[in-house]
Amino acid sequence: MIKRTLSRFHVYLLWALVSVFLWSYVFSFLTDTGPQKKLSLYVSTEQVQDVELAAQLEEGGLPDGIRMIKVHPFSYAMFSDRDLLSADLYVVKASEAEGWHDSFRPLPDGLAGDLDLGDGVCGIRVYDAERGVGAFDELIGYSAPGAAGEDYYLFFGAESQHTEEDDGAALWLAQRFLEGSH
Amino acid sequence: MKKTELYRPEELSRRSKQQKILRVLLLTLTALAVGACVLLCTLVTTRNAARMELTVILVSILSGWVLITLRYELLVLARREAEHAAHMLAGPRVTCTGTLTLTEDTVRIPGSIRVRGLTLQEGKDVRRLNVNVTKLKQLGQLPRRVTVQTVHGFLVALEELP
Repeated sequence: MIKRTLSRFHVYLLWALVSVFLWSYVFSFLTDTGPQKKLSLYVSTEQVQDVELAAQLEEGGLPDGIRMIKVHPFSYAMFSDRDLLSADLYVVKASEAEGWHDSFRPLPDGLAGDLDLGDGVCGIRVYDAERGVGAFDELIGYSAPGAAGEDYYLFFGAESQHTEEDDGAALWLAQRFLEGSH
Repeated sequence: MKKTELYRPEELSRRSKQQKILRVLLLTLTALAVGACVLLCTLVTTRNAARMELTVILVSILSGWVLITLRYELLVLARREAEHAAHMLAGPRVTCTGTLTLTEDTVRIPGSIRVRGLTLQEGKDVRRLNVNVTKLKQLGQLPRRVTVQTVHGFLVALEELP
């Protein structure tokens, strides 16, 4: 029987490969959702505990119609920038913010900005490099240990499907994120 | 004189029923495996998503391997035995007499059953025969003088000679 089993090694190998691709697709199909029901936050740093941050932001419930929050570092979009460009919120360091100007939109009414990029686009400071404190800084490595860091700012995405004219969920997420500021 | 038939018509319906049961068993196990994977997908939370995806893939791979093994080791073998039995019952029988002896040769016919070699010797005339290895126990003590019936070189019946 062992000999017969070994003679079918290619079948077992093929099934393993099929399983990986098939269930990755099915899992994603069953558990992921489209941008209409998802809030996405891109953080321009490699050291982000994306799963834990998303879980903490989801704690206490989500707005009506929203099924999940996704948090990604910018490098997540290295093969396709579609998701990156349609993110609802961005956390970007001061020196990089200008380059992303076209992806941002003005702040919603009632929020005050700390960094003005022109055309009404402003960012809210979420990490103060001088003090070394920021929103969810136990989950986001804003600066390398010992290095002189930079301030980080929160921006609203221009392509977001959750603006105040839509369901306002991007503003809700921004407020949840800012609640994590020290 | 005792005559031993290695293949009987009742065997075909028994094997057909056996194959149906095996098919139902495999389909049930497949449905259970798929159901388990889908159930795991519904238990996903933000925190356990990566671990759950890995679990689903592992469950799929391992259950698939078990099902592949069961399919080949039970269903395919049962189907081959049934096809062979039908072939033996339908084929033209040839009767001959001699001393029947088992050889050491056991081979699997590609896409079919495993067979054991036999020789039937009458004087200087030696015939080479085959027998389904699952029928070996029914042959009794060998070598001995018998009258045999064969179909396409396969032993299908033997009768003891006084």
